Amino acid sequence: MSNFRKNMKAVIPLPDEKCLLKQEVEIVEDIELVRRFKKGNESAFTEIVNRYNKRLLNTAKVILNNEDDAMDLTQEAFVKAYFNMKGFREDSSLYTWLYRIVYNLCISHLRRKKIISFISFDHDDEVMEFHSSEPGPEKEYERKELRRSVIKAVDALPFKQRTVFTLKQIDGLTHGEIAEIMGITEGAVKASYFHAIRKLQCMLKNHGEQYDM
Amino acid sequence: MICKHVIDLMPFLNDGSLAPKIEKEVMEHLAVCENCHSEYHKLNNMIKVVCETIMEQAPVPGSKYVEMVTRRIKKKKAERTTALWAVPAAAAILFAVFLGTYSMFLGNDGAGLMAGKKHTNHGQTSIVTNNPSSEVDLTYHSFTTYANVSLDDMLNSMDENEIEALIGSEER
Repeated sequence: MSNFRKNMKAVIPLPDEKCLLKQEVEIVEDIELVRRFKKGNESAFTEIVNRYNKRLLNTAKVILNNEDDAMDLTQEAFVKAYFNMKGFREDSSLYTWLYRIVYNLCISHLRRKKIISFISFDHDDEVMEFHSSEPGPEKEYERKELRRSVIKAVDALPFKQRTVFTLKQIDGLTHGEIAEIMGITEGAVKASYFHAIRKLQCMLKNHGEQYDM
Repeated sequence: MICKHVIDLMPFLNDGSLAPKIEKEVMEHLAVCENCHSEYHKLNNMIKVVCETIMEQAPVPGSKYVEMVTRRIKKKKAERTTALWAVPAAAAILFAVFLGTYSMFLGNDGAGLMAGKKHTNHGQTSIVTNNPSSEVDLTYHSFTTYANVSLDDMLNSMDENEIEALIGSEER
């Protein structure tokens, strides 16, 4: 189960899993919040921000590779959502709509900066702590090396492939949802994901033994 | 199903994008092919490690995140309100200036004539008023009103009461 779905399960208690799918509960909750906000309940919007800020921030950070810019753009995305909520159609999900706003803002930002093709991750070794049950120095070194390689590999992925990988694996979105957010076809999403996996496998093949745990 | 096909389809297992029949075939192959099973295991671990690494680097919104969003919304609301009033206000000011200028122009025509009197000097007839420019205004106005009659002819044919009446009607 992806982190996204796990989070949703934690956020919304499910009365009976047989009756309602997790996603249905989530959509019902979101729609209810949107309706309350449309009726003038400002705290409903605060709830929406609290519910999605972490996920949107992480996605923006992966796309932009800059935490400050991600913070700025996600806040801007929420402001846009606030003023355009009346135009939100209730037949689509709120989170897809929010992701699309963030994605479009990120794309505009990158185009403005013209850095779309050579974004790189922050290579901060100190931040990359690997939580190990065996904190031996040799093992710790190996894992740090693995982390460094992973970051380098993700960094080397083309922008679209990295975004598709993140939206699918981190946010747990379906191919259809990703296609809607990125404005591409489901086929293109699948192709990007396939190539992302192949490239990661190729770049991390030397660490096969390490992550084969 | 051959190993190459199974390896190509592995990334899409269990995400609902494969047809049930195909997915079943792949799963059956994985159950009997040790090599493909090992590859599938490695793939899943690799994805797990990549996701963990990304999540470890995930930024935390912080306690003031919502407050900052709220502040931005308020700022934007204020900007929108300003924009909402600024354009009509600017238009109103321009219109008022235009009206003022126009009424001044018309006002000179009428008000200046209020104290007008017929005056003949060396055969040249004019209206003498408190405002020296009114004479020109009357000339202009009379010319436009009685386009085919010269000012002198018109004034000569009028007595003082008629001139007063003319001025009064113009003012109205």
